[in-house]
Amino acid sequence: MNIDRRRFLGLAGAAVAGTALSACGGNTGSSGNNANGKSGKITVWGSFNDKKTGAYYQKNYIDAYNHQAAGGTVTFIPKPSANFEDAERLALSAGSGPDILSGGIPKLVEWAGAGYLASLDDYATKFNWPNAFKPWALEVGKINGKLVMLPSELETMVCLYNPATFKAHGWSIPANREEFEALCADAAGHGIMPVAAGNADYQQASEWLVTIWLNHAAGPDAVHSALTGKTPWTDPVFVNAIDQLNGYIGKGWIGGGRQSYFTNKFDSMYSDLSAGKAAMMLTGSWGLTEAPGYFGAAANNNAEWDWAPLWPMGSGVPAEVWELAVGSVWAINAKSSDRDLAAGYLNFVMTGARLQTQALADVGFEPAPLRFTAKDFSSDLDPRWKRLYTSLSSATNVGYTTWTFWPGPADTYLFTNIDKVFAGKTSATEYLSGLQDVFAKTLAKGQVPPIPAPKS
Amino acid sequence: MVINAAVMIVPCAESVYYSFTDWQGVGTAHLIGFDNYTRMWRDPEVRSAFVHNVWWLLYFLIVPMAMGLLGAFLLSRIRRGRQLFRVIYFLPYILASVITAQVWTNLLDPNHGLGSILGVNFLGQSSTALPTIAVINNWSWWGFLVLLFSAAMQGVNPALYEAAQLDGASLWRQFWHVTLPAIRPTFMFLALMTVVWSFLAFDFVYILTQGGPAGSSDVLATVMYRQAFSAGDVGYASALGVLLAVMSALVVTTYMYLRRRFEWEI
Repeated sequence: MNIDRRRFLGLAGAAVAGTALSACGGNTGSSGNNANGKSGKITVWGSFNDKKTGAYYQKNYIDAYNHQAAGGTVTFIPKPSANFEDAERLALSAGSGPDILSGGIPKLVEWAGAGYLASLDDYATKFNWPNAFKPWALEVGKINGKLVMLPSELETMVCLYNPATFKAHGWSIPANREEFEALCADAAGHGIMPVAAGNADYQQASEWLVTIWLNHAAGPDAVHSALTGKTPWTDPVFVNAIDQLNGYIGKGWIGGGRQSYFTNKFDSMYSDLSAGKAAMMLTGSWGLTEAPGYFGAAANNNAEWDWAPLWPMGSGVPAEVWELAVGSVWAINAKSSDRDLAAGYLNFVMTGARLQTQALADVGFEPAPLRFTAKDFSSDLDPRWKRLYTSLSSATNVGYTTWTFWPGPADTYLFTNIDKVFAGKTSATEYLSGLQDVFAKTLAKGQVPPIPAPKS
Repeated sequence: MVINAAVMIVPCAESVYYSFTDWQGVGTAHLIGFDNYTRMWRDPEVRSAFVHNVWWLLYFLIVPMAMGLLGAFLLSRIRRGRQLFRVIYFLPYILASVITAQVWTNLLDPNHGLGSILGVNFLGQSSTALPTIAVINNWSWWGFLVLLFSAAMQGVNPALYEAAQLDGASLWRQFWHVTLPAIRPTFMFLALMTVVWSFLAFDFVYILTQGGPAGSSDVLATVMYRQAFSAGDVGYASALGVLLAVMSALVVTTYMYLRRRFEWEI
């Protein structure tokens, strides 16, 4: 299965209604009259992996809003998932685009800098969004103190594993680096790949490992300090973290080592996990939607899967760190002809905690970072999902995923060049020196997204 | 002319303009002079990709051209089944590159395919990734050359071959002294286009490895793509695009100069 992160754009309920697109240039929105602000039309773009999820979205989000709204119409326009953000960017450059924009944080930070995003501060007050979202969530969406983005698709990094494999070998989930190394050594000794990993299907998958090691080996405090420009990326704490990760690659513990890492595919990784040929996968929480296809009745086997939080890999790192990953953010096009309607739809989607958790249960839509409680989760939701999101809701130590909090050029450098470290073509020091150069330039240009504090 | 202006000239002019800016694809583009070009000169990623393009050029000037010539020449010597062989040789060319790439990825799979039998991870090792992609691309490409060379060879006067045979010329000497001179215009045209196309190589590289592992199969086009659509550095990507265009123009201009200088007939 492909894990194209761009495919997640539009899956969340951010598909706010928008006005009809203008053909070229000009203002967004349709010419629908906005009598008393109640009869506008807005459009939203999005993409889905299959017809089922698209139909679910149309019915439960778009049609449901249109049915209950006092006025105004939301229209969803499907777009190809590939180059989705580029399509939005082109439309924005031409002065049009959907009323509701969605994309990765780095891209929308750029668009905010270009003046394409409307302010959401008044709507946050009107709809009491601070009470709906986790405290850090609205901070992530602020540029120069002004709220312009709302985060959706809350994700984090987890350890996926097969409990039967662990039981058969007497393993337990590691609590620290030493236990992790002991498990890896034992697994390798039994001919089992300790950590299934690889980037054949998605070159950027390497940054998942960088995310984990920066946050769990160097620690979220150090990462926060670097992201805010106080500590350079060349600091020994980061060099040691990358060296540690690369060392495990060299030992063959991750992805079977450099001789196979670059051609490992997700299908084979999940299959190996279910068959007991791999001990763990260190991946994002989206893995909880993908793993079921390889376990149990869906895969004609008796295998079961489970997940566990990641452990510290360095001294002084908290026992539990939950990396914050925002799959995409929503924003309102500054040229929307009906911002009130757009904000109304955003509010409908986001304050509907039950709507979001039901969608999680039904089609795997990852919810926004809301203040969920146990009662928000439907009874038919997989308890493993419920455990994840209640854990995230109560998390006190947060970390930073590279695709959420690193600006585009720095993130591109990060995932492109870490492979050179894995392949032995460059050292951790040289790699991080290059990252520092790129990051410093983007920091100077104000392109670094808002960085929430590491303690929630 | 209007269409050309709209589709080619205007975007080209805009690319040149943006190559002198720091444009991120949105917002205002600020002129930064030749910064993108000096950066390109120092960028190890670009230098490495350029070397890969040169390697690609040499490979495609030699291997598929030789295979195409040989295939066409052998076809010209047979009467029965000639059309069937032409179809067989041409079939890979009409397959979509994504399909060809997927077929070969499965064939070379390090766990279940040829890779596991030979113990080589063809697309997963820095040393073998680019040559493997070139071989896959060649498999798709050479049949097209056979067709073109075959068509050119059909224009060769059979009397020349008869005369050569009467003089006792071997098959090789007939090929070297009769066939090659006769198809020189086609050969030179394809060689010229191979040079140009080599610097534009992208699809198979991107589909198969996206320039990996670790940049070992990166070509200028994949670097440009990554800068434009992943890093969002459209100004720098535009400069790379201008570089590619300039190199292609240089090749064509050099050829035209030499043709005029030495009064080539082709």
